Amino acid sequence: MSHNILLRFLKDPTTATQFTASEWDLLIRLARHSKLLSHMGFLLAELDLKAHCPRKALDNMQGAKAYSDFYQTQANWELRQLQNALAETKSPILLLKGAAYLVAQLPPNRGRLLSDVDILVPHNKLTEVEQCLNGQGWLSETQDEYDQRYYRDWMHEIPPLRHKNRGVEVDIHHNLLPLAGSLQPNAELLWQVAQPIEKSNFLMLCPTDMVLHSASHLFFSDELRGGIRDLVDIHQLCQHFSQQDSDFWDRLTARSEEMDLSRPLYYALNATHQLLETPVPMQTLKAVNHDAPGLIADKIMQRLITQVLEPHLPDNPAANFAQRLLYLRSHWVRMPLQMLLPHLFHKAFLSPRKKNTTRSLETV
Amino acid sequence: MRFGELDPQWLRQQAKNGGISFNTGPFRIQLQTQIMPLLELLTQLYPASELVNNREVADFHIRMAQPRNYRRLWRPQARFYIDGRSHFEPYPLDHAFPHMEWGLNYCIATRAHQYCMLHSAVVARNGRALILPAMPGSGKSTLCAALIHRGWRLLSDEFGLVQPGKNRLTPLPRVIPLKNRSIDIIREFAPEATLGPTFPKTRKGDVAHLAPPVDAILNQDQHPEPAWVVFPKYTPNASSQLEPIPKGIAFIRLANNAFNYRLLGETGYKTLVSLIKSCKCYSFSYSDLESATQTLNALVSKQEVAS
Repeated sequence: MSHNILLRFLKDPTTATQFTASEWDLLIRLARHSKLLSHMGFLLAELDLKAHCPRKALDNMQGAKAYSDFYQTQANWELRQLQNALAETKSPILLLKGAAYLVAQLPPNRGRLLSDVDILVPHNKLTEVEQCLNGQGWLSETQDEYDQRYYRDWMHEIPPLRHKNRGVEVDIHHNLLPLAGSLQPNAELLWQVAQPIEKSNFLMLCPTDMVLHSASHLFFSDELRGGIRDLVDIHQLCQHFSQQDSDFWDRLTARSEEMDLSRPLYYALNATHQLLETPVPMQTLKAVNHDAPGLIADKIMQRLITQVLEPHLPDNPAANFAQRLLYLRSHWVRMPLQMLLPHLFHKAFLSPRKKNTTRSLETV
Repeated sequence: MRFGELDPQWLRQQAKNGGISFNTGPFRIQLQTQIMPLLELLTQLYPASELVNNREVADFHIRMAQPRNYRRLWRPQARFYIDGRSHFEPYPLDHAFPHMEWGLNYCIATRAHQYCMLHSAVVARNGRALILPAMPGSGKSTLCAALIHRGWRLLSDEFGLVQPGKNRLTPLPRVIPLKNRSIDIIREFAPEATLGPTFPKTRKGDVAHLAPPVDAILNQDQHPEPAWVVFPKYTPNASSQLEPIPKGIAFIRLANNAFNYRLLGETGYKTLVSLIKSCKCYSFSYSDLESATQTLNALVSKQEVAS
């Protein structure tokens, strides 16, 4: 069993009443680094436990809450602007990840820091949507020709846009995973069962697809960069949806096969069951185990995943090393070798070393 | 135990190993460092700061260390780490102290959003606070340094901390970095002041740090009410002139100058509205410090007569 204080808290926030002062000290630091400090405040408030927290812990959670509130207000505003701007295209707009949690008020939204908004549009509307936004002040972050081609030929999104007067990055997707990658979900299937978000004109993925997207994003497109926060998303979405629908788990496994996403689901359910004690039914775990990689690959991956996802401070060498290995893997699963090698060569030697000049609000 | 009363040898060991914890205003710092001149200057400029238990929640976990690279053989550097991460370029080793003060200010400004953070000097008298917003060319630090040697208590030279919902100023008494000509001006104005060494050629020119007076540290839990907002403007050869300004104008200038007004949204607005409502607002041009402090001191007597 894990002794990590943040994991202990996330599994059962009521344990916080027994934490010592130095455990609180570490907990606050881990939560901050994991982007969960504001979220922690929400969990404690819901259980009416704030009276048991040290004053300093409350101060820090309050500061983090002000910060996440600001980002959520900004994201909400950006979404409203996008909706107005895209009205003429008549394209459906489907919100992904944080943006969907925000507008649909799903559990992971509590205290969530959103620095960008991700939306999905049908592939045949992509060009029109992009031109429409370009015409209204949303500009591409990168002018580099190679980067532009990288996104357009190989990725599942166009190069990130940012409105010239604002700081929020807008990522426009047409699928869940990179075009060049080893897994190819069919975007048509997503649209067929997409759901409207109440009191808005946006759509969101259906519950199973939302979990599958979160899983594939964490394990197959980033080097687990979202860390424990993204796993908490999966944990809370699964809990939320399985309470609403008793068939949720069966639907989830069935859908993962249909969508060609059973490998990421295997990683996600194992990790969240192991680290956060998500109540995944035994039969679901058994079912996804069929999609485990070979024995050795599995052992290595499990180890790296635990090392990266277990909350740590930024100067933890083991976690940083594991992160680097997973970074290599993320390229591997994103594109085949005959594409990867020229890409790395280009990034290392040919790309001009231009740094982004626009930077959003920073924290430390 | 206060820094001034501790065995320096013991303190060094602590700073090297587990780190030392101390309060600065409402914040608790845990500092780990092997850079001994830095520690020496810290204890010299903050003798009244109290060493507190390491096993409590600290707001900022700071490490000041020499980066491990070959450069340290011929040009040693100091680097500021918060939670093990470094966000800034390293400084020359002998500038470790200003680097730490500056780094800490940056950390406060980007993290402590439980406060509405004005970019101002704040001093107080008889439980009433005078807010001096930092505007380019205001000479706010110099004026603040002068006031605290003419009867005012230092709350902060850099941060006006206001807790939303409570119309009070939270003290954050730290060293006051005096720049260039101000160093000699204050030496002459207040010969009793404790000043650290002059650091030549920093980003802001020559800098020397004025120690916060002992009473500022001892009273850092006393939160005065805001009473005056004064926008200072240093004007060569001008006589001291205090002109009332409309509250609306003062509000906008104060808000634009705050560290996190925009971030706090509605909370920030409400906080500043109640602050401005309880304050008299002035613009203030001055050149001679003696006459400037007299003019501002008169605010207090006026208030007393009125009440």
